Amino acid sequence: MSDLGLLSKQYEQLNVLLRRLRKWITVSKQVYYELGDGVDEIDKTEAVASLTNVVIFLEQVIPAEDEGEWAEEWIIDPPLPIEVVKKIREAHANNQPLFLDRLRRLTLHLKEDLMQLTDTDIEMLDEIMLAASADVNEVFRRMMRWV
Amino acid sequence: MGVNHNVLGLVSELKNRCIRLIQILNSNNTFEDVNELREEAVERLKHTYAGLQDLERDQLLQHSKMQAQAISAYQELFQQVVLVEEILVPVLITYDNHDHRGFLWLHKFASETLFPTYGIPSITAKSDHYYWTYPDLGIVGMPIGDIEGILGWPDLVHELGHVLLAIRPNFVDEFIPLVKQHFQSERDLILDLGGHPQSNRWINIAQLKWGGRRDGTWREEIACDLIATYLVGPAYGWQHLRLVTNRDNDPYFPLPTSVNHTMSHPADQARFEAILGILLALKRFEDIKRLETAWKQMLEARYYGKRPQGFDVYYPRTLITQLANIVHQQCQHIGLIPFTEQQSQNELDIVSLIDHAWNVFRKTPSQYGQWEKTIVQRFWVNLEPAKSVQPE
Repeated sequence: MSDLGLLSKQYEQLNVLLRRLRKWITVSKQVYYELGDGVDEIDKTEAVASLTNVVIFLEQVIPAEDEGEWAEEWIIDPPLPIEVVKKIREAHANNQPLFLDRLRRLTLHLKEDLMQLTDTDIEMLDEIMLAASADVNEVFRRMMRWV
Repeated sequence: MGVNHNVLGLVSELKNRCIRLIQILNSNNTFEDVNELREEAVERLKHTYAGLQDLERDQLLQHSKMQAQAISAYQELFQQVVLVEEILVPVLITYDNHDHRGFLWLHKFASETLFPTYGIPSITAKSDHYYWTYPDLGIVGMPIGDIEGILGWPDLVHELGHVLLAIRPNFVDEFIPLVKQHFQSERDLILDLGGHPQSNRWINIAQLKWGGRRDGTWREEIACDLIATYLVGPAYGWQHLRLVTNRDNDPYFPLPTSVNHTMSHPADQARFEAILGILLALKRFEDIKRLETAWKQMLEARYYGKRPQGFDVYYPRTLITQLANIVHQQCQHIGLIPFTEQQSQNELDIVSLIDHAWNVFRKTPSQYGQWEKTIVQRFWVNLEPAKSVQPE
């Protein structure tokens, strides 16, 4: 049996996650840059709660040497797949303390108000979405046997 | 040129592609078997086209600050087109009598086993990478040689397992709390007794792999093995042994120490143990003994012989047995006919034929080829009464 059955399921699941991340980050940027006709309050609340969860997760698992140090709650229900964590960890192997500090500040700003975000926070959110996007695209390439 | 400007060009090209593909599909006159699949493909393209129009009109995503979001949204739509263009279109435009036989096979099998008819996928018999399925697209693939080769048919039933899990996504939900409970006890044990420094990592990775979230693929793959064994019996175990022999994969891979997160399949050894688990639930004691002996002989004759340290942490027998029992109960619950109740008097029924084929294969191996040739011709004549199978 080929991997397609499992990869297709994984692809569909990752796409659902990516779509949500894209929506939450679009909402955050819309508020921060004051774009468009305003944001629905429910969408805003959802975006803040969900992104805060993602950022706290990253803050805790990025410094962990491996999955053995993850808290059980993240093992049961990780907001991002391991591959995305690995990508982000690798990208910040050389500036991890600074990156973790930025994640902590991002959490604080998210909890306060989306208007409190900074340009750096927005870059961080984009980076998380792009890492998830790269993961989806990798699974897609494997599924289509482009690699 | 700004990135978003570029996206507009890509969107424009992709819209044209959607139209071209719809035209190709509409002008392609094929079998009635795939009417629904063709409609599904066209609908997908129309839906994607509408998504592209929305993206074009979305003023928010046109903003320079939204470049990442615009590209990501475009990529998703692009992939939707690729799925149709590279999977469904080739299936549809090359559909012929071989695929039609696969179609007849699936419908006969569903009627024998009471597999839900609304879940029967379309099929291509021209797979270039063994058996596969894409449940969301409603399609399975089989290698063309297996249209007249019975031994591999159990693997098509495994693919139907993926389809069943897609239409019944809660099929093995009962297993999730058991996974949590099992690995929690393992962690407690390490705290009390100590363990290998890497033990905690192995346990956590294993829990992710067995779990119900995005990284959890082993539960699904083994559940499909179990569904297939429930439906076709020990033949699935024999086919598993044949596949492992043919491919010569390390039966214990992935190992705790060498796990690659992109590895979606669990180890063949664990899959074999799962097959035995459901045969036990079906009370096929003699078959279990025979399979165990053959598996042991196969392992002894190969480079990979020893069960590695940590294997049981990764693939706990207790969990595998629990999953086997859950799948057994669920299959009964939804009314699938188990192998044990399917052995009809008609030797040309698929489940009987598969079982018979494996018996002939094991008992009179030198005569198997000739026997298969004759019986498979009779099988297709019986299934296609209007068309005669051409003699060689």
